[in-house]
Amino acid sequence: MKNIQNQPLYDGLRKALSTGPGWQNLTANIEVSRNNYTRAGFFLNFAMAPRWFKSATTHLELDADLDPFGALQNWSMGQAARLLILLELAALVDANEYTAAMSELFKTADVNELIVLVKSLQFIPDGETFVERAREAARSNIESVFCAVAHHTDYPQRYFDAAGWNQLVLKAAFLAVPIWSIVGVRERNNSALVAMLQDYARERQAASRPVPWDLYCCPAWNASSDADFQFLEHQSAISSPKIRAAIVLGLRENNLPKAQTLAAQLPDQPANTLRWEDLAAWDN
Amino acid sequence: MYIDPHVHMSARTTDDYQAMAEAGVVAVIEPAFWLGQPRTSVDTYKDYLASLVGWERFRASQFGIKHYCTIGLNSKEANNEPLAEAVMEILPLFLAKEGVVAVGEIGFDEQTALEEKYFRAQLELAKQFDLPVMVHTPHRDKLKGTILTMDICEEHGLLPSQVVIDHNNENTVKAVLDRGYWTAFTLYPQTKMGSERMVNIARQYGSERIFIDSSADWGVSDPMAVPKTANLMLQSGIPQTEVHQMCYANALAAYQQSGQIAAEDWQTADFDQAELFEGNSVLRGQKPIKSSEA
Ligand SMILES: [Zn+2]
Repeated sequence: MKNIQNQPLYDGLRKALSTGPGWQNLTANIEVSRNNYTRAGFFLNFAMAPRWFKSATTHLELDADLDPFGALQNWSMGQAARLLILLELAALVDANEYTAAMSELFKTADVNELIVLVKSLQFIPDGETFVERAREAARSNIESVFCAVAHHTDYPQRYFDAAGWNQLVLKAAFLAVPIWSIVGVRERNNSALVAMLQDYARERQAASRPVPWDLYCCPAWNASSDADFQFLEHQSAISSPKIRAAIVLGLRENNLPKAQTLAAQLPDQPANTLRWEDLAAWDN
Repeated sequence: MYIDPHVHMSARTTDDYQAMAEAGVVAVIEPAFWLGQPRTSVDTYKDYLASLVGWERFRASQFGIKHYCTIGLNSKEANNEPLAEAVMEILPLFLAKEGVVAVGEIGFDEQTALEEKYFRAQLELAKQFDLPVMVHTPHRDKLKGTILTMDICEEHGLLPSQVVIDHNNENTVKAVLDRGYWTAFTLYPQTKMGSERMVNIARQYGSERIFIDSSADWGVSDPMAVPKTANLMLQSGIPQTEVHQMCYANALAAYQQSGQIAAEDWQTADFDQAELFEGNSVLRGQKPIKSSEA
């Protein structure tokens, strides 16, 4: 067995799980795998782990730097046990078997398994190997699977190429799940994405359907041409107070003088202390 | 409140889900079966099984219906030995998934040697995974095939209470009930078992260990068969408590033995489409139904 690569997380998970009802079962079955690894045994352990822990919730007392984006908050013990089993696998088998077994697991996962697998990508060794699996999650129409890759992780920011990144943000708009809280949404904002979001807003409006309020962060941060500013001014005029506030907030965070000027001119000026997380709590 | 314990929702539309939910169906069980034509590789079989624990479960949830499934190699495809061998290899991977309530639907079609071989092998899997068995009885040479099925189950040490025998009719009901098995009836519109015949069977045999299902699939079939027949039973004077047994409680009791289905699943589920699931793929922009409005 190689060293566990993410030793602090591994230790933290073991400590948290050792108080749970399924600890004996988990450690016994991990031991069986260590002594005589079979892929079928690994699959079975991964599938069964939540049953060993029933519905017990974890109180994962992990240092913030082990879970910097809060992905493991509110995890059940069963989910944490599944992550531990993945870390064990990575340490136990060679790279080929690791990739093959993980890929097979992705292909045959049920919904809850898939959520754990996708959320685990930021914690397991060589997570970037599975970038195509993460792209598939980002195409999912199952919202909980999509959010597993979009939120509480910097995986897409680190490993998605430009097209993958833009599709992720556009899909978040399509699913009407938060855009503003996607890790890296500011850093990886770009003109091609903004053009797609503008089109999407116009398409929704043509069909008299609502536009997600936080779609406007990207066009406002990025605005530089006359057309960009006209788009925002027009959208402000035809949209809800929440969207008007989002446009002002985004423009205030755009350093161009023209952006600052427009931000100050638009109606319904929100307080200077307003942040995106505050605005998210407003009624639509 | 109804359960349809045998329905192939993969072959049905969202209109069906909507109508079933409105009629009071709270849970469905989708047995793995063939697709009307044989699969030619284990990979397509694998994708099908994965869809039963993945996408189809999600699709049902958007209509407030809990979706469970049974996993197995069906009798028709058991006759393709290389495929059958490969499918047997992957079954354990799926039998341990959440919401898998039985090994099924398995049993006989033409009653060939290969069908028997893989039926027996899957009974052993059911024991290993501590799951009930859902048996599809043959449509031809039915009584003989049904009795053979029960003999084999007992030979492998399964208790009748662990086995659901489905697709019964007037000719098989007595033999199956007398031996203590769960006795299920598939209600086919026009042909085979219709609702009226089911009412007569219920009058004659009562409601103990009997339950009904639609077995609706890609063929001429009716996903509303369970609620419709329940109404017909009530109109025919069959007591409400017995209708409840046959259209809900008995199926739940049979499959509850898996530990993977419980009434709490739909009684306490905080179902909120708008919050949990997206409104654009399956619902395609319709107003999502909130639990308070459903
Ligand atoms: Zn069937």
